[in-house]
Amino acid sequence: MTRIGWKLGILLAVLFLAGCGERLELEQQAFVVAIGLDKGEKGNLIKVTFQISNPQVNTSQAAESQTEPPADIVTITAPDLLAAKELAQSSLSRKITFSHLETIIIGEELAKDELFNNVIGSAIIDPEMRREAMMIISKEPAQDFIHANKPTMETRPHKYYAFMEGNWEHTGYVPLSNLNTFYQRTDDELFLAAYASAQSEPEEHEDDDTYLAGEVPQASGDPVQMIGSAILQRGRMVGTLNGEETRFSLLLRRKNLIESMTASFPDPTKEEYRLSVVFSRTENSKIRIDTDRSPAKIDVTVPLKMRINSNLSLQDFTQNKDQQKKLVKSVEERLEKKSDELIEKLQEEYKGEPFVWYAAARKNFWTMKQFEDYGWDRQFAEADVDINFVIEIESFGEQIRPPTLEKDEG
Amino acid sequence: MIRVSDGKIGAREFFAILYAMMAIRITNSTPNLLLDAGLTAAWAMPLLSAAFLFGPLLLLLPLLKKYNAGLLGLLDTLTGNTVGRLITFAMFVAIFSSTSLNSRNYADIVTTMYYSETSVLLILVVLILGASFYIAHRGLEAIGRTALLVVPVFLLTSVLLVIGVAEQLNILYVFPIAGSGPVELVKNSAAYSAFYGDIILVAILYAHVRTHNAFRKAAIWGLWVPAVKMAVFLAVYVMMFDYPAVMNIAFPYHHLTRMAMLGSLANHVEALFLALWFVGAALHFGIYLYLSAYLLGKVVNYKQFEHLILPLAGTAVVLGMIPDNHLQGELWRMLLLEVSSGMFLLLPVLLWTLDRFRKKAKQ
Repeated sequence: MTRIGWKLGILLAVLFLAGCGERLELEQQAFVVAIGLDKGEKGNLIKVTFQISNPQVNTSQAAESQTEPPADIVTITAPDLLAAKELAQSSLSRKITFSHLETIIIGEELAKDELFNNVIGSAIIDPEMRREAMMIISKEPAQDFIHANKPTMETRPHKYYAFMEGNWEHTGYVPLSNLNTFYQRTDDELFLAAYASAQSEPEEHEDDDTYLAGEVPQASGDPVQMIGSAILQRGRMVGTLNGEETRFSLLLRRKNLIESMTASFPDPTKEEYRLSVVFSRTENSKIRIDTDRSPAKIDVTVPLKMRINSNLSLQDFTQNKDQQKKLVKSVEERLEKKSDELIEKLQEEYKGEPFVWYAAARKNFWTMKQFEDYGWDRQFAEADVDINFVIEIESFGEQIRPPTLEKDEG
Repeated sequence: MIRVSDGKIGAREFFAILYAMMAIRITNSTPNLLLDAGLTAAWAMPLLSAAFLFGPLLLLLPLLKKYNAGLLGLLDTLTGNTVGRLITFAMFVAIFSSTSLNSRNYADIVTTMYYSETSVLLILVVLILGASFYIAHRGLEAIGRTALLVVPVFLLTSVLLVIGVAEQLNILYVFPIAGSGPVELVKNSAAYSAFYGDIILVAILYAHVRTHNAFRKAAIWGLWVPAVKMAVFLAVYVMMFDYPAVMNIAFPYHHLTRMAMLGSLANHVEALFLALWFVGAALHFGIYLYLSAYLLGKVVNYKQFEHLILPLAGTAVVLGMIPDNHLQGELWRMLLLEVSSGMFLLLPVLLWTLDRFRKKAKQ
């Protein structure tokens, strides 16, 4: 009996004490939900802003913490992220942890600096850093961005970022840009990061999506806007794309990243009115790249489904086949023209592509060495690109025909 | 039907043991070796390696049946006592040094990815001297049953993991299809075929498997299932992280479990995989310790080889503590792999040739 008791004791000890090795109580931790990175004033120092969520707010324990704000913001100047994390502990009572870090905001000034490649390249060495964290480039310093961002609906900051990211899939204004994809494209190919701003300089455009963050004509509400993308090449920011160009660079990829998006076009039947349609893509785009000839030839076919859910000109598209054909043709032509313009711009200014076409080009090669010798990005800058949109009208909304005001037109 | 335990294992248990020995390699730093050698085509290497070993395995199987003895019995009859003992000793060195080198690798994964404040020594002691020793100590039958209990779970969670990341994969990243070139691929697959050399080595357990058919079936499945699993995971790593970024990631499996999402809510599922992985590691080293002790017992002619398990486990921990970090051990590991690959590929051929000569001599 004593022998069994001894074994039982060990077993119980293993069962109940095993968790004590590296235990960390929930209330002893400071969960960082967003990090802001900026260039420091001196030498190669960077300013790291931690937005730390208060886990007690909006929970059943809220009564104990009624006077506490939902998040705390601390900025530390240090040589790198890891050092800043430790240094922040000098003022924070709780242990900083990155386990729920989903958003990294980078000030445009730092993103354009040579230092940025080193900062972000070394950040991932820390095992606590997660590769699925989103990268957002802010027009102003990230510190100001985080301070200015006061969403009224979302008390808890991590919810705000999570919901915003969910939004992007439905608008395509902003690319889904996590760290994992960033590390995939640190060479000549272009990486697109979400572009955001809390400074408002409203402009009014005829097209509904040609804005860059900060330009959207918006009055009141949260000052933060996220639209458009920052272009990063060789780990440095080199330019921006507006919302429309960002959408095209997502559409031209093989894999669909946008669930649906709304865009407006001039009505082909009545030029003075515009027509808003909802696009969705259910199939992959077909990308054929001919690398045997010089310059290389790239053929892209993008299948799109279109829903006409708004019709300012009140033209009858539902019954009239000719009108439909005219509409489809004009939308296809317009999309093709716009993407040609974008590709021309990329070929001339950046000599690289954000469409992940390099992966399709790799298919033509037998070994990695052959592909590297071919120099895809150099070839892309000279390539002939032929874009084809194939559009089907999927639905006409919930009216069989537009309400007619003047009988004689029908 | 309840069968009286006879100390022997059946086909399913034997397959589970083989799976636990080989498939877990995809979670340590093995993928890094393969990705360095095969680039985007690393996924083809496990299949090629398995194909290389399949021939020797097919040579070995009829021999085992003919003499109705394990690999060690064969060595004894065909090569004579002294040479047989030397080869047994070489096999012991191969398997035991891989035990201690790999155990350090696993401990480093735990301290790097999960428990940063725990010491390597503590993890090694708990893993090798605690869990693995306990499993090995219970004997082959218990090992077989443990393996049979957990291996289906591993198979299921592997599929779950691939589904969890499927949305984030880009299939085009595995191109160019030949990676570093066909010659390189074949050459390196042969050099690294020791990853599946276990399949030859486990022939020492032939006498402990119920029937020849059970052994044959389990050995063939036990070679190809882990190889296919490794191939799938290597392809997934490349499709997830893309070349060349995938080459820079120290432990791709553990990054993959972090990236996996089951639905939109459960996105921190790595704890589940960590727990299962630790069980798998304990089982893996338990089997290795058992086989090491079995071989050493034969070399020194010590019948009660179970008594050797504890000293061997202690030695493995001490040896595992020698390198300062796991990258230091990596060079040794590559050398060990290349040498033992040669041994496992050639041993069955040698035995087969000797058998032919014997037949001729008799005639």
